[in-house]
Amino acid sequence: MNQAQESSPKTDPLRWVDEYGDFLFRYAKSRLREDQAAEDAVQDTFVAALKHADQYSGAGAEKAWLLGILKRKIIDLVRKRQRSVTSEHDDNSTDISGQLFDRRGHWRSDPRIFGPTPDSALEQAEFWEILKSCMQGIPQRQADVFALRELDGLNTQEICQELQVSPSNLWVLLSRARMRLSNCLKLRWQP
Amino acid sequence: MFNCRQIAEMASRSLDEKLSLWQRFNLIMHVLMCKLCRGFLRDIRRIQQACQQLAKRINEDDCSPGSELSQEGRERIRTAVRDYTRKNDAGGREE
Repeated sequence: MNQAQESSPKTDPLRWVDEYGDFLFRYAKSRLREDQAAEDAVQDTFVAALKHADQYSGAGAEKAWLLGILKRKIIDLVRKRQRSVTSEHDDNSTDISGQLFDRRGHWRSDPRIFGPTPDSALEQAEFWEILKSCMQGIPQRQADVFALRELDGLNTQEICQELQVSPSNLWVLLSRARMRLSNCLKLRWQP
Repeated sequence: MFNCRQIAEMASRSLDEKLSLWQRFNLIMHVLMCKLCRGFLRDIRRIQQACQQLAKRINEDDCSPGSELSQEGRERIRTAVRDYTRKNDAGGREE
């Protein structure tokens, strides 16, 4: 029996791959950064979608339905990654603040990126490329929570609950991620 | 008195949570006097806004030259989907 007869048109999974594969991949990559992890998440999404195809109403929004599944897959993956990396590893080697501040806690150099007046950075394609590239450079645990916070807009309570991390741990990770990102932009973005 | 390093951490936290009155007081007093920390706070706020815009672009799939699934990745996914469908056809639907 061939594919077309077996699956109703609304849940033809190979069409999903062609139609939404790249979009879901880009989305997953923005959250997970590595190609391999992003591909795995997309694959898991399609398989889960097949498993629960009966729950899909078929009313439009197929893309949104698949995206909803992908979001869950990403959080599951991130939760696993947070556990697998030891927190020790993230303590000193990935803390950039030693480079930014001297022993007395003063800035070693001027951290400011943008001028005082709103500039046109956000209108320039180059800025977005640099921003994405700088986000790639954030160490994994920091980058994962940063993406949940700043791209997905989850609040700190939600992130703590999803990932089983303490609030103080989360603030440290977010603050290190921001310092690293800001330092990278400072070095690479010339307004 | 807090130093710049502590203030920078507090500035970051102010983007995630409502600070206590005491923390807010210290943050404000410090950035009033320290132009570097004032600049840092302003910059991380702008970065936060930029990330929100980036997220919107990704959602609308409006990213200038975005990456695509690799050929191997696509094939792997197609195979996984086909295998799953075949397995289910053979064993009857579980649901």
